Amino acid sequence: MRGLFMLAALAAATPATAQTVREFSISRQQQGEPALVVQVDFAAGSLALHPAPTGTLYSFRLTYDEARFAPLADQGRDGALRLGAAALGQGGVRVASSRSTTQAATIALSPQADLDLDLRLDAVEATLDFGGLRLGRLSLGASASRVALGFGQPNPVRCAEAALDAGAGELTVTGLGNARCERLDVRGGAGKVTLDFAGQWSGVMAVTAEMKMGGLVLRLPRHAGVRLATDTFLARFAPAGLTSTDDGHTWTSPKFAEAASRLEVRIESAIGGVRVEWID
Amino acid sequence: MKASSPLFGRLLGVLLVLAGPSRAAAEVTPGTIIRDVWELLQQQVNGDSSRADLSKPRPRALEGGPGAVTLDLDDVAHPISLEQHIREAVNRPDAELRIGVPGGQARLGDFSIGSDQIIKGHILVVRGDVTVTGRLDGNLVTWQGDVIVQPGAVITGDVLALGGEVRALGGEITGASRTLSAPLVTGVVATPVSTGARVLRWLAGVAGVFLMLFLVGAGLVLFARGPLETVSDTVRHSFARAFVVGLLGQVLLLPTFGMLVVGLVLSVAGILLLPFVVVVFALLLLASVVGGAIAMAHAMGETLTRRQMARGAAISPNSFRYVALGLGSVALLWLVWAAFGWVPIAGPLMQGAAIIVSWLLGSIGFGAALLSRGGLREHFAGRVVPPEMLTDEYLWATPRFGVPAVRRPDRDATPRSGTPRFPDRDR
Repeated sequence: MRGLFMLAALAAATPATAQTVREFSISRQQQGEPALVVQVDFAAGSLALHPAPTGTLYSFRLTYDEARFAPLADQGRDGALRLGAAALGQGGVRVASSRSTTQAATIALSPQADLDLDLRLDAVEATLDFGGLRLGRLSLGASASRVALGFGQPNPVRCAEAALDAGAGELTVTGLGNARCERLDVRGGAGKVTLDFAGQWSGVMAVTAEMKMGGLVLRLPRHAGVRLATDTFLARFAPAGLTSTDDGHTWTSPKFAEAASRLEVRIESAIGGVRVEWID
Repeated sequence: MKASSPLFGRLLGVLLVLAGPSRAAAEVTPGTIIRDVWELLQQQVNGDSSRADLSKPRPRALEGGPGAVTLDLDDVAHPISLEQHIREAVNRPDAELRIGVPGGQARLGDFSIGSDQIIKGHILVVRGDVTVTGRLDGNLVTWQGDVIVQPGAVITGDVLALGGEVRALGGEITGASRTLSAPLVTGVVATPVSTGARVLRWLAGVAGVFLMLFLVGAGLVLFARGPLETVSDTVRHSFARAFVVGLLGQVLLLPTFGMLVVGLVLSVAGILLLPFVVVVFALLLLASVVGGAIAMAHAMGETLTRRQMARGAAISPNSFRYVALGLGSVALLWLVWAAFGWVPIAGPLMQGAAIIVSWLLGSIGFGAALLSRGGLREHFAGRVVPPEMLTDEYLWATPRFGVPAVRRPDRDATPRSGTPRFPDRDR
């Protein structure tokens, strides 16, 4: 009967989904800045990030519901540029049709400046294209987001480290071979993480993947030498194309010893599955 | 007609502006036309005539000094707060506008900085576009106007366009370029609904809900008649106890669920089982609430039917009838509310009464479902009379004086199978 009451109350309720939408934008011309530290805080909505056209240091365009969010665009005392949308008192995620979610942001960053990038995403559908950006360091923290991160073109500089935390969301990274990162740390919660190591490989990349309940898919290039150390608890591991070296916890690809570019992967997985796929 | 004349005139103005030579051909697209007309209509609806004033004010400098509003443009990095200050400053007729900018100037209408000009200090332009071809050493802010930066222009500060755009066709802007659009209301705006339409909607809603419940009840009668009747009997025979248990069940629902989850996450096997347990818990709860409510309706319908038959009515007693009659009785309350809920004071009172009665009945049904373990524990239904005496013929066709008295059997005499034993008769 309580369910009956709720249904009746819902039937009697008047929908009121009107919202006041505004557009905010900020951009700055490039004037010889050698580096840029960017921190992106985005609470909810969709986010796209891509390289900026020549002559632009950065640009940020945000469409937001002014009753629930406020644009973030300031330069901190440390010189770091903060971009994004901060939730106001009534912020957070509205439980409604996704069509009514109007929050959307586009960020463009200069491919001429060395970038130190820190992204904090809550409930966001993000498409991040780092192809061609001079990425020196990358940190991504996502809570309940679906993130597609790609390196379509090689990174012109060496990336010291990249730390990706998928939270309870889904994370797909493509073209990691172009990232030129010396170290990659990936943490997954309950979602699915896909790491695609395609691209122009050079040197050695050390990858640590710490998964809790989610699944991990590794797409490995056949030409690269791969050594995989696993520490799994209840996780399934499908080491297709790899051979175990000693105790069943270390696996290597057939050409690991003579490969010019190497990938050292360490996987810690509690529950879930780890799958290996090969790409040409 | 009078009220619509200015609107018509302004619409015509929009079309003339769009068609005029001042607007570059490349800028006039179907999108821009629709956007301009939409903004104009919206401002008419919202009563905001500031942006709708297409005949731009005659350009002039705004005077500062005593009585003027002072706007500091040293920091334009916070456009929302600055917009608020400017909005307050320009909220008066053009002729009375007096704005002062420390270390700069304020202007009304279109403004341009020629290629041979060098201006030092901040500039605020209200309701006008700014075209920069020369040099500005300071910040530039426009209120409901665009900023056009031509090749060769130099702006050594920040640029902010409130309700406008920054069009960098070339030139150099040392600082940041910001824009903040005017608010745009989107989505579904609640429109007033007539009383008749509201009554019809409520009636349809109530009818739909109870029809759905009846269909579920019919399904229970067809496929789970035994448990349904057992819960229904529990309601009739343990009414007060079912209510108390129903209340307790509602209070303890969340703590029970919490303890269950905590208990499960303590072990690895429990963590694996957790998703299934959550789903099963939710399903059991749903079945208990909905099934209990339908069993409650069944009990009500059965009681009403038996009373009618006892008065000599020749009707067919069956569970479909019971469920329909019980649900119909409850639906009657909601239908009354749906029909007269719009009446001030009485409407909310009727709604409150319907809610309370529904909740009471739901609680009793929920409690009965818990007591009888979803109808699986038959002996709790209070069937203390022999099965042959539970026939409808016994209840309405047999003369009252012919009913044999039956002594309630001992507690121990009731076997677990649920079939009652009668010590006197067995002996």
